[in-house]
Amino acid sequence: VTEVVKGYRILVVEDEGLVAMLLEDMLADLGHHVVATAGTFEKAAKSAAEADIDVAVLDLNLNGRETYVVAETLSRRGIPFVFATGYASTGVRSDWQHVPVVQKPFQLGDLEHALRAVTRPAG
Amino acid sequence: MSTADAYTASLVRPGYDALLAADQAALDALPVGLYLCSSDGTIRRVNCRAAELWGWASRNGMTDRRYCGAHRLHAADGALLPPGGSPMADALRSGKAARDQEVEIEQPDGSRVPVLLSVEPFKNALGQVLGGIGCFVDRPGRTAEQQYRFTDRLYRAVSLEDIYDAALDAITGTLRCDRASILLCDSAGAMRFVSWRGLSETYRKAVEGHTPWGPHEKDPPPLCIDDLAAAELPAALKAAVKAEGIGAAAFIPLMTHGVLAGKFMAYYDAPHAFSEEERDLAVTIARQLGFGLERMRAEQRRLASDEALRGSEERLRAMFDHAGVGMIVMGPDCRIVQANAAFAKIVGRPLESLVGGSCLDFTHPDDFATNRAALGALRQGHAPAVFEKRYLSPGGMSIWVRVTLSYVGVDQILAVVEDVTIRVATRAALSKSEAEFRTLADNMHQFAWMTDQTGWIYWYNKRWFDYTGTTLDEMQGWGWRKVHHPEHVDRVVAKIRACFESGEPWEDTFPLRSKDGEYRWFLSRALPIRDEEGHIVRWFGTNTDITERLRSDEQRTVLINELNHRVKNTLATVQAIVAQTLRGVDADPGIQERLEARLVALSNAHDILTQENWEGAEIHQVMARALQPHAGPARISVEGPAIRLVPKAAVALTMGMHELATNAAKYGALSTEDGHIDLSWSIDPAAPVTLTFEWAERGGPAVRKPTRRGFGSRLIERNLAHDLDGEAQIEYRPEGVRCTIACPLEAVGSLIGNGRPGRMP
Repeated sequence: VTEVVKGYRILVVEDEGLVAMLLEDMLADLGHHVVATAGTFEKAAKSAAEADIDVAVLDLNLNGRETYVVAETLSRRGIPFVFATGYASTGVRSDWQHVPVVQKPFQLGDLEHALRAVTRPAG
Repeated sequence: MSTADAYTASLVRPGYDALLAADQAALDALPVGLYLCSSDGTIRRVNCRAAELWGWASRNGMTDRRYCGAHRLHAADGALLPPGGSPMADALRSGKAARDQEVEIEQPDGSRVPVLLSVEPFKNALGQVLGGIGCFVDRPGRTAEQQYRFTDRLYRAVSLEDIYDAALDAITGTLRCDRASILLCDSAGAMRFVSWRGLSETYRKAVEGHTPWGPHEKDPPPLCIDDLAAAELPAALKAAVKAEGIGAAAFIPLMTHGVLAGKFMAYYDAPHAFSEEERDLAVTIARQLGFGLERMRAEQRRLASDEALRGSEERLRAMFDHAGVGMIVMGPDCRIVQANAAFAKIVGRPLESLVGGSCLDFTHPDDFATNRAALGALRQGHAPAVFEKRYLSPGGMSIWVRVTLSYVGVDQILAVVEDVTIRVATRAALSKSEAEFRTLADNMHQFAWMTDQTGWIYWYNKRWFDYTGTTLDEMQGWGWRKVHHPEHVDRVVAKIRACFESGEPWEDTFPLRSKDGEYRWFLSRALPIRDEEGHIVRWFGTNTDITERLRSDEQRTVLINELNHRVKNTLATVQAIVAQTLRGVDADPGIQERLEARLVALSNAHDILTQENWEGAEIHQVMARALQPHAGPARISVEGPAIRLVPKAAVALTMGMHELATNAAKYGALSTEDGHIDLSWSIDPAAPVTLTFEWAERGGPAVRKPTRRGFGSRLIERNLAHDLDGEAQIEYRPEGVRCTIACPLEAVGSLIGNGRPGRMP
């Protein structure tokens, strides 16, 4: 049994408040801490650039605005992240297809699986 | 009746006695020889002409003779006729007249006089022969006659053989020799036998080539050897002559055009004393024969050249008549002298009606000037003059012809006429279609262009230049690369080059820069155009502006993504609400799990529909997506025809399958290691066309009918049946749960591929 690394500091970018709360609960159930949530594009960009986090869960669509710029910021900082989206897998832009997608509505198993995939130490 | 007969008749009538008593002066006045014999053959009366012909010294010369006064009498063939066998003797004996007997009188000096002799017997009333009257006139001499006959035959001769035959007849007849031959010089100058009478092959071979004259002797003399046995001759020749039984021979040279051409030979079995007369006769025959040969050779040359000429004329005529192109020979005034069948066919008129008429009669009036100009050009030496003009058919249709004029005589012109109506029509149609094509191409929305067989672009339509603001000089060949986007041009060039090389149709999508500097996207295609042998002669290409379409595709994707996002966000919100609600009441954690699974199933159904742009989804895709969270194909076998489900049915079936699979995982076939589910559906084509699903579990634990109907079974039996406008039934059979759903096909979707089985993705 692979030991699941616990206690990541996580940024949740999600415009729907109830859904953000759901993610917080689910991530807490998995043993992590949501240290920041962002519901707007500006806040998301700022958090991605500054927040002290280990990993991020990023909704691709914030009030109709795509968040690939936020993804780029996270990438530049070397912070792993997963997309949480209502888009079908084909809805992700081609240059970001390598990022795991957690489909809404969430299943705990999917979320855990995706986080493990991006945080697995290289090698 | 011959003259002699006439006289005889007129004289006989007075009677025998009257004639016997006739006045001598009267008898002598007659221009024929006449004599009277008594029945015993005694010559009783003779006129002076008869005495003269007989060669008597005087009229009273040879009265002791009987039957005939001649020294000797010969038959026509030269045989000696004894007096008792003469025509007079015969007539006196038989009492029958003999008329126009050809006999020859040999006079005492040996000269011969051919005569026509008629003899008439006189009879008394009792029919007894009293005597006879003989009457004769000299006829052309035998030699002269032979000569005449020879000349005549030479004249009538149509072959050398005729000439040889006539000559040999003349030689043997005139010279009275036994055998004869003709030899002519061959090309090497040696004399070769060409014709002969009575000579053996051995002899001919032995003496051939021998000649008494030198090859170029100017005036070779005739040579007559009276006695060959005594002559000084080469031994071999002498032996051959002896073996052949030849006693005497004459060698008479034959001259043609003053040159020795050969000789003729007269052979006598016995030694023969050649007379001067015979020598002269022989030379005369040789001269005539020489002329005859000359004439025949000239004639044959003329015939040969005539034949050759006639042959070539016939060939020309045949070529003219049967040529595949029309031909006429005409005067400078266009009057037709000669025309062939092909020409008649072109102008649609009977051949016989053409000759004598003018070809202007059926030339299109608009082409008179062209016709005149061509004839003028021909006169000025621009030959052959080639031009196109129109004839008019009898029905008034224009017939386009290509005419080649050339002189075939001083004032005769040969016109070779080729029907090019079809070619002209095709050319006109081509230039018309070319013009139509350019108009079309310039007005079409797409850019259009053409390349040669190598891909070198030589033509663009107007739209291309309007858009790019370029010129053909800049764009032709591979110049088009400068309006391509720098990031795409290499890829585009590589791909189109490959197509130009392989001959595969080309298709690509790339941006092109407009004259304003804006890049727009174009879907571009090019097809090779091949000739009849299949070789590529050019490529025809188009560029279609798809920028707007790409934008609308993009917008559509954005919209669908947005829709999906909203649906999923709503489901996630529901999930959050439920989670928060349950969190406060300390509920069974399984409840949240089941709820979340149902929401996910619903969400999955939406995913498939999103992929298909909400136009429906194929049933196998839907089943696979619905069952995939629960079990793979090893546990669930799926079989049924391909059906495109409407969105509502896709969602309803997904939810139904989720419930069945969840139940099976908890209590049924999927709760053990080796349980199995058979999912199948089929079509009953009877109206209304019905779709029946069957979900059959086996190999699971023994099934007990649940005491309470849960949400799952109600969702299927009520909701699914409702959404599919059909009926659903769940049976809890001990060997496994079985669920059947029957509904009208049209409420669910439509068959794809005529009901062939579909495949799981």
